[in-house]
Parts: sequence; C-alpha cells; structure tokens
Amino acid sequence: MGSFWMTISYYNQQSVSKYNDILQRYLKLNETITASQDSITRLNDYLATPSSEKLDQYTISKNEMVRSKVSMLSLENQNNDAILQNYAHMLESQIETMDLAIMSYHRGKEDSMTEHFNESIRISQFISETTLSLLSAEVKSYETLYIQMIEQSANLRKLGGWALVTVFMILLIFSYWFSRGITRPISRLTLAAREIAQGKFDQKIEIHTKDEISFLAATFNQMRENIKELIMEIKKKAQLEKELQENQLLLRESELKSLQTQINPHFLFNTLNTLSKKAYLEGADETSELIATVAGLFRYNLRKLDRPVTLSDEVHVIENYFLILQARFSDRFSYQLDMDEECLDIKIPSLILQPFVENAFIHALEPLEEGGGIIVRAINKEDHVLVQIEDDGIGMSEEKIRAILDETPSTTTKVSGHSTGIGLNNAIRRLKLFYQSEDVITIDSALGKGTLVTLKLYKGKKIRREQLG
Amino acid sequence: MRRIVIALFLVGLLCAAFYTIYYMNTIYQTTSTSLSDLDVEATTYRVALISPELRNSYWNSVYEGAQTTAQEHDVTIHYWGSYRSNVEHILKNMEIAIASKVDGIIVMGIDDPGFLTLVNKATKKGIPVITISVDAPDTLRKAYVGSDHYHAGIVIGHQLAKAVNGQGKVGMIIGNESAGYLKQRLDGFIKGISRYPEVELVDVSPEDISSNQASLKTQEILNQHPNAKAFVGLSADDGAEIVKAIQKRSKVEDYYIYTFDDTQETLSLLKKGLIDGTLTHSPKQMGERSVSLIVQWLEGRELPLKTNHFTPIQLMTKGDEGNHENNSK
Repeated sequence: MGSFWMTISYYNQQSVSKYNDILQRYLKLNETITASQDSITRLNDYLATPSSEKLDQYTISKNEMVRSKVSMLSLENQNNDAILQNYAHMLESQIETMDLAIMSYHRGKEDSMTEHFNESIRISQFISETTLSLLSAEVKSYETLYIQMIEQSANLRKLGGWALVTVFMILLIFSYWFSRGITRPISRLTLAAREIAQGKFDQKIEIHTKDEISFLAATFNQMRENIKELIMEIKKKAQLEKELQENQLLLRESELKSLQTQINPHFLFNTLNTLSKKAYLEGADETSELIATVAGLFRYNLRKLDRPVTLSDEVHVIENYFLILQARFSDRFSYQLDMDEECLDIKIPSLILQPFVENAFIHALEPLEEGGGIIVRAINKEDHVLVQIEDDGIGMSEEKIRAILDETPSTTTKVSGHSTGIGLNNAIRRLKLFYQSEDVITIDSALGKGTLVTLKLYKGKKIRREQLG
Repeated sequence: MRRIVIALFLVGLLCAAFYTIYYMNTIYQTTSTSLSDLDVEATTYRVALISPELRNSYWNSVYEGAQTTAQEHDVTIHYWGSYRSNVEHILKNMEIAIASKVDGIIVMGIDDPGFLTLVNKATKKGIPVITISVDAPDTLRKAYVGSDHYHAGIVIGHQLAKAVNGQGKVGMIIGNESAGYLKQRLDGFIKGISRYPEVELVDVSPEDISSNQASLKTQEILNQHPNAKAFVGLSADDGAEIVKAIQKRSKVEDYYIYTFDDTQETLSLLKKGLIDGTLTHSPKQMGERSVSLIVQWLEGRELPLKTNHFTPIQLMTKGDEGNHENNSK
C-alpha cells in the first residue's frame, strides 16, 4: 500500500517537474526580451550622456544578451527549430548594430551612428514580436503534453480513489477472515459441548488451527473419550450386578425350595439312618439299602447349593435317584448310564442333572402304562462335555419345547409327588448363568417319539470367575 | 441472505480492483509517451518567402511549390507576408528576415526605393534575394523567376488583334505605368499588335479623369472613342473594372476584353463569357524554381545564376477553363 502511494506521488512529482520545465522555457524567453530592451536603453543612455560607467553598464547588458542567446538555443525542439534560429540571429544582429552604433559614435560619424542605433531599435522590436510567435510555437509543441498532464492528474485522482476503495475492501475481507478464524473454532467447540451435554459422545471435534483453541478441543476430545469409556464401564458393571443379583435370586429360590423340604433335616437324616440299620438288623437288606439311598439323597440336598460340584457327584445322585425309582416301579422303569470317564471331573453347578431326569420320568414315562427307560450319557468333546438325557416316553410337542427353552413359568414348576421341587427353569437359568452362555441346552423331541435333552457343559475359562454367593 | 451479501461484496471488490489496475495502466502508458526533445538534425537552410497576399490562391500555389522543393533539400520555408498588399509590411518582413540572417529571401518585386535599399542590404550581408512573379531589375537581386511579361504582352496582343479581325480601336487600361512589369506587358502588347496596323491603341490622358481607377478610365475611353470595340487590362483587377464600366452602358459580350492575370474574379468572368481571354501563370513552378535556385546558390553550384527564369504562361479563352489548374477553387 505504501509503495503504491509512493508511485502515485512520484508520477505527480514528474508532472510538476514537467510543468516546471515548460515554465522555465517561457522565463528564458522573457529574459531575452528584457535583456534586449535593457541594452537598448543602456545604449541610449550612453549615447545621450556618455560616461565610462554607462559604457560598462551597456556592456553588462550586452553580455546578458549574449548569455540569454546561448541559453535560448537549449530550448530547441521539433517545432520551433527554425524560428529559434531566426531569433538567435536577430539577437546577434541587434548586438552587431549596437556595437556599430558605438563604433560610429567613437569615430564621430553621427549619421551612421543614428542609422545603426535606429536599426538596433527596430531589431529589438522585431525580437519582441517574434517572441510571440516563439511562445505560440512552444504552446503548440507542448499542447498535447499539457492535455496529457491534465488527463494524467485526473487519472491519478481516479486511481487514488479506486485504490482506496480496493484497499478498503481487501482490508474488510482480511479482518473478516481473521475474526472468523477465531470465532469459528470457538463456535465449533460450543457445538460439541452442546452435543455432549445431550449425550452424544461419538462426534469427534476437528479443529486444526495451531493455537489455544485447538488445545482446548484436544482436551475436550479426551474428556469425551474418557466419559465414553467410563459410561461403558458403568454399564458393564451394572450388567454384572444385574446378573449377580439374578443368580443370587435363583439361588435363593432353590435354597428356599430345598429348605422347604428340610424340616429338621438332621433329625430326618438320623432317623433314616436308624431305620436303615434297624431294617438291616431285622434282615431286610434291600429295604436297608433303599433307606440308605434315600438318606444319601437327603444328604446331598442338605449341602450348600452354591458350590460347583463335579459331574461324577451329580451322576452319583442320579444313580441314587434311579435306584429309588427302580424300587418303586421295577418293571415299568429301566435306566442306563453311559459315561465317558475322562469328563467326569469337570465342574458343574449342583443339582443340574436331577431336574432333567425327574422331568423325563414324570412327564415322559409315568403317563405310559408300559413305562420306559432313561439313558444318560456323557460325551467328552474338546472344549465341552455333552450330557444327554434320553427317554423313550411320550415325547413333547413343539410348544412345550419352546416353553421350556423360553423358561416360561408353567407346569414344570408345579410341585407334585414325584419331584424334589427344583424346576427345570431354575436349572436352565443357573446353567446359563454359570456358563455365561445361552447355548447350554437343546431338546429334540416329537410326540410319541421320545425326548432327547442335550446339555452343553463347557470346560475351562468360560465359567464365572468368582464363586456365586 | 449471507451468500448474496458475500457475492455482492466480491463483485464490488473485483470492480474496484479492476478500475485500479485500469487506471494504473493508463497512467503508465501516458507517462512513457512524452514529448521528446528531439535531436535536431544539422541546421537546415532557412528561406523566407514573403508574399504580398497570404490568403491568395496564387501565392498559396507558390508556397506549395516552394515547400515541395524545400522538403527535398532540407530547407525550412518561412512564409511571411500580409493579408492585403501592404508595402510597408513587406518591407518590415524583409528587415526581419535580414535581421534573422536567413539563408535566402524570395520576394515579389516592388517598385519602391525602400525595397531597393533592403534588397541591396540583404545582398551585401550575403543573403541571396530572388524576385518572384514580378521583377525588380534595378536591385542586386540574384535572379527573377516568373512569367515573361513582355512575351505575355505579345501573346495577348496577337490574340486580341486576331479577335478584332485586324482592325479597330483597343482601349488600354493600365494602372501605374511606372511599374516595370506593366510596362513590359504594354511594350509586348504593342509589339503584338504591330503587325496589324489597323489596330489602334487608345488611351486617355490623366487630366481627363479624376482617378486612375480602371472603370473610370474605361468610361472615359468609351466617351471619347465610342466605337472602341476592345479593351485590354494590364493590371490584375482591371478585367472586373472594365466589365463593370461597360455593363453600365451596353452589352458586355459585344466587346473584346483581354486581361493578363488569372485571379479568381478574372477567371469567373471568363467563365461567364464576359471577358474573352486572359493568361494563366505557373505559380507552383515559380515556387519550386525559386527555392531550387536558392539552394543552388547556397551550395555554390554553377554560379553565377542565370538572371531570368521564365515560367510558362498559357492563354485562356472562353471554353478553356476546364484545363486550368486554379479553376477548381
């Protein structure tokens, strides 16, 4: 901007100096006339009343003329060349005639003195007149220049005005741009804050200016991420809590149920033992064994239910159960155990198998007049053990299968004379919780075709890390 | 809304920027073209052409011719003069020319003692003077370029004599008899009609007329010689005057009127058929010739110069007007 104004003033300066030059020329011309007229006057003075000072004065004047003649010639240009020559020569002529006049005077020739003097006067007049034509020649040659200069000044003014406007607008743009550069990140930050306040934690804020605002934005982002993580953690914990509570609830349920059957369990237990011994002493070995089995069942049920047990323990219990059933129903009931020895050590929640076996017996076999059989298998797979409870009973309908799998509280929880009371639902739910998986049970059945319940028991780390309870 | 504002703003900015650059450009352009103080070539010859009548088409032709030659030889012509023939003005211009120490003077000869003095003064100062159109043979002029007036007289004389069928009275109208060229014309004319002894030249004596005006003279001649059928006007505007005088009394067409010049008025009279013949001169050639003579003298070639350089003259009668170069003006 500064350099711009400098160029303008430079051009201005140029115009002024050109004007100056032209004026100088006019002044020079004027000087010449003055010199010419002056010398005539001085000469006249001298001739009228001669004295050496006057002669000197005349000489000074004359030299002035000579000087101005020389400076005149510097004014030469295209248009005035010839006229200028004439002019210069006229000055010469005047000087000559004046000198001749003086010479004649000194020789005492009055006539020729007067003649020459008059001639010099006339020449001086010619010079004045010619100056006019010289001036007009000057004006003509500089006419176009004058017009140009005036145009130039006008243009300069217009240029200045427009430059001002342009610069003004550019400044406006710049200041707008700068301020936007500052306010835009801030507004973005505000927007992001509002979004976070509304609970959306996923929008990442993008601010790339290298200043404090971007620092703010970065920390803001971090805060957002942290909040997101924390919320996730809280959610997870809440989930955990929920499951925990559910598990506890279930356990309580089963405990309660089992407690229902524990009316002074130790008294019953001891009484059964006594009865078993008495039967044995009276020679009823079978009865004694049966009573011992029942006692065993009771003992098993008395224990704490929340500890995981091994598969072999459960199988024992099943065996006891089967024994009892066989004693009651002899022909109508048969059973078979097909266990893979290696997998018996895995940990499973307690009282899992029994409900299924019970269920199989009550709903599948009992209704049949001829009865049926139950096969329990344990198949060792790589990462899990498949336990199958198969019966050849009446089977169950699709609806029933779905009802069981969906854990809808229905007839399975009805306490009847044949069940220890812990329902399928409970067992299934506990299985799911224990193994943290939904994929723990499948039921294959069709009406009249028997039922196959397959339990998937995972080995290893899928089990819940802490003990339930 | 915002977009509109931005768009307008941008347009405004572009406009402003454009104008700024436009004016910058204009200014830059104009400064580069400024008047160059030219390096003047070697001083050219300066020749003063002093004309008695500046606005005259005749003298314009002289100037034209002079300029043509001048440009070929690097000569600058100063065309000075007065708008109306004014002897004093011509003399003053000559003085200025001498004081300006021009390289040459071309001037029409004037019958005036002041003129004689000045021509001689110029010659003494080494400035060649050439007379043009009208000679001044008493002066120290170097040469004369123009029509041969004596010969012109002869031509007109012949023509008029033929026109009047070799007999009759011819009224003679002459201005200032002392003017050299007029005398030459008269002599020539007399020579021209000398072969026809029946042709008589008549004149009136100066006492009979109040002024020398051509029309008055004509009237007087007609008074004294009523059967004069022809008139010859020797000076420039005599033709018009003669016609004017005759028109007052009778039909002009019946008279044979001859003049010597080709002024606008004379030519139009010729066209109208009011005068019967005149002479045309060659002013352009005069201009050309005179300048080349000056140059010749300045360059010192083939000196001394031949004194008389006659330029062609042509007789023009009714019907010839189309051929004349000055006619179209």
